[in-house]
Amino acid sequence: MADLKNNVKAEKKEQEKEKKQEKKVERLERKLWKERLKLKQKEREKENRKKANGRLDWDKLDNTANLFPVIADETMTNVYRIAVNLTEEIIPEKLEMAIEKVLEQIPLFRMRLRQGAFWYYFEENLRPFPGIREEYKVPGSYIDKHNNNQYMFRVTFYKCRINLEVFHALTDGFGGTIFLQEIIYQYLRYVHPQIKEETAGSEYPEIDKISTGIHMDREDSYVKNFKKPAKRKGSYQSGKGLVLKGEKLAPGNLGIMHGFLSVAELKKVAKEKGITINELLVGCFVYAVYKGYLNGRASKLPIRCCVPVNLRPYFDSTTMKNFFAMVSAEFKPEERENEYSFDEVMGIVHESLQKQITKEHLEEILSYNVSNQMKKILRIVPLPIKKLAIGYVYGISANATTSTVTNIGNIKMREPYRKYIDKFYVILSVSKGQNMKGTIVSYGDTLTFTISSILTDTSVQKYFFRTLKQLGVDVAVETNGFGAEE
Amino acid sequence: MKRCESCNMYIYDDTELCPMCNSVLSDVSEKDKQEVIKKYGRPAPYPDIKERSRKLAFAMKLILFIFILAGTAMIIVNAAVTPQMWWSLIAVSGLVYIYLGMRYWIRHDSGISSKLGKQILITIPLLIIIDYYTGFHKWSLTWAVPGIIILGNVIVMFLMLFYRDRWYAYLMLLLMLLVCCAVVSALMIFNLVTNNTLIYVADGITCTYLLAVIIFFGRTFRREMKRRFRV
Repeated sequence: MADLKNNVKAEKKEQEKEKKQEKKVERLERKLWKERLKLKQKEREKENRKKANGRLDWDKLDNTANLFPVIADETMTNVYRIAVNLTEEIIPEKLEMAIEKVLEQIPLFRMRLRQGAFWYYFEENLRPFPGIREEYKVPGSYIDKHNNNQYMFRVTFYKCRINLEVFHALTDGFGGTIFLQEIIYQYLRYVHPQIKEETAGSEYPEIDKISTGIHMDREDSYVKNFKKPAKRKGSYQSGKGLVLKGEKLAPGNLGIMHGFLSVAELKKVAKEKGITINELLVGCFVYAVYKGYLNGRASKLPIRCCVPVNLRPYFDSTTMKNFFAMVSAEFKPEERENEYSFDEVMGIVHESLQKQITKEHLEEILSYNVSNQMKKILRIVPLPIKKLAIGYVYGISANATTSTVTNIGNIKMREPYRKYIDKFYVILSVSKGQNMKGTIVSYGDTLTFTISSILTDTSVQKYFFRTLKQLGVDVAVETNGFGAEE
Repeated sequence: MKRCESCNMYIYDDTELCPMCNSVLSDVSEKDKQEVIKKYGRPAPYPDIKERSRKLAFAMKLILFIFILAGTAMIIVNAAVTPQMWWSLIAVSGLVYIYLGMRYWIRHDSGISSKLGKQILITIPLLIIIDYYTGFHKWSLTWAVPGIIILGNVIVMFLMLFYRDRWYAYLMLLLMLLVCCAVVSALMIFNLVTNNTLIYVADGITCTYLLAVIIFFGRTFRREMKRRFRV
């Protein structure tokens, strides 16, 4: 009996020894692979420099992008994250290979930011991509370009999730989504070579190239669609809005709460109320602020929720650069006997958004925003002075908005890849005056509404998801651990 | 995965309390768990990002603390021993300059050209201020500032040689040095300089350097200037 026990122990020890040996070999192989990749990257860099010899591709920043380098710092990063959760653990080497492959083909993401005497501009970045790391920072952390080989995006991974974080000066959610989609396609082709084999004989075989039909357009659609604005009574500047205040998380932290909802259930509720899903969620968010933050009380300042609108469909643009305009859903709770009901708030928000999301109104906003850039007298102001002025104007307008709720829409992935993809997430970093933000993205029947916040109080989140539940939409919640227990 | 009975929702987190209402969560059967995963997808947890030991931030705080103590000590000694000449203010200005310079170099997200340029622009007035408050013998404009301009030229030359593939990135620094030369040369008219030699040397080096760049690398120079000065 004792002998048997000893034999079993000895076997277990052998097995553990073998496992350790295997892990050691794996680690060495990975190290070797990384060294080889670094050498390859350095050789490619040398070749690129010889070819370029000062003739690098360059580009202007679009109208919106001019703001971000001025205001971005470690407390207000202007970095957004689009993430995908796959059905299996990420293999870092394959992911890095996929990013290298895709980066060669999408020049917009190969740009670095340079400072001119009057404007910032982009220039082709010949440095090698700095590689990927396991997630080590809070979502939406500052991208220090000089520690990132001058790239304005970062890719990290954790377990089954790939995170793409982009500095907003480069592109908006539209461009970020395309880049991530191509990375996913290429990564899955490397990890599952059978995808290429299975589609080899078909009409649209999967090959190691970015998808056909992607527009590599880098026009500044703001300037292209600019029309001299008619003289307007009053300005587009809003008065002060309600700012969500309270005890904050430790500096550098960001509380993330994802709510998973069924698109079918949301559609049903939205249809019953005669509104869109987007309006329903924005209205719900505004109502949650009214109930969770104001406790149903009146307020001198309105709850003003910015809703970015993708301008591409309205102006027939396919640009990869930023092209969106901000409209605001506004609700000012007046002093009265009874609290506002959800339907009342929803009605006010719906009316507010309907009035603003028309082509004419969006054209006016676009022209107003671009008009300053077009004034010759302002164009010759040196950049350091422009930065002070932009920073000052931004600082004043920061208190005009309570929050932002952005919807990057429904992400569609091609058939051979769908079984490997679980869902998508989008996270916005907070900004001055907006201590809480919401994002919406859907994939298949799952819509993920993410609330990012630097406040410790989670009443707004609680009311938001509970209200949806009361409307008949089931919710499941996931956080990053910086919630009520913090 | 657990369930919050107050909120009537499933919570994916591995936690005991609801992240929204702080109530104690109830356990969920394996069957319910699989149904929730089937409907909404798999959990995607976040790593436990603990506060990293910020060695650099601590070092900067320590330096600030030492500088404040040193500055205060110098002011007290100055007041007690030599109240007729406030040398301590110059020393404290120097400490402030060093500290702010360090903060900028370590923390600011900008390239070496920008950092060097700003460092030079801050150093020149500092030297003039020190000169002014020590009797204004004009050594700053006669020797120190031209010396810095010459040093700046040497640094730019070194950077352009070392980073041959992106040498044009340092052209703005060279232009800035040219502007500094022009300003210092203009001050000769107002007799703010006792000896013009080093100024002429600085002007000569900067102008020759720039002329060589324009003649031998004219196309790249024009291209870079077009991008930098686009209005």
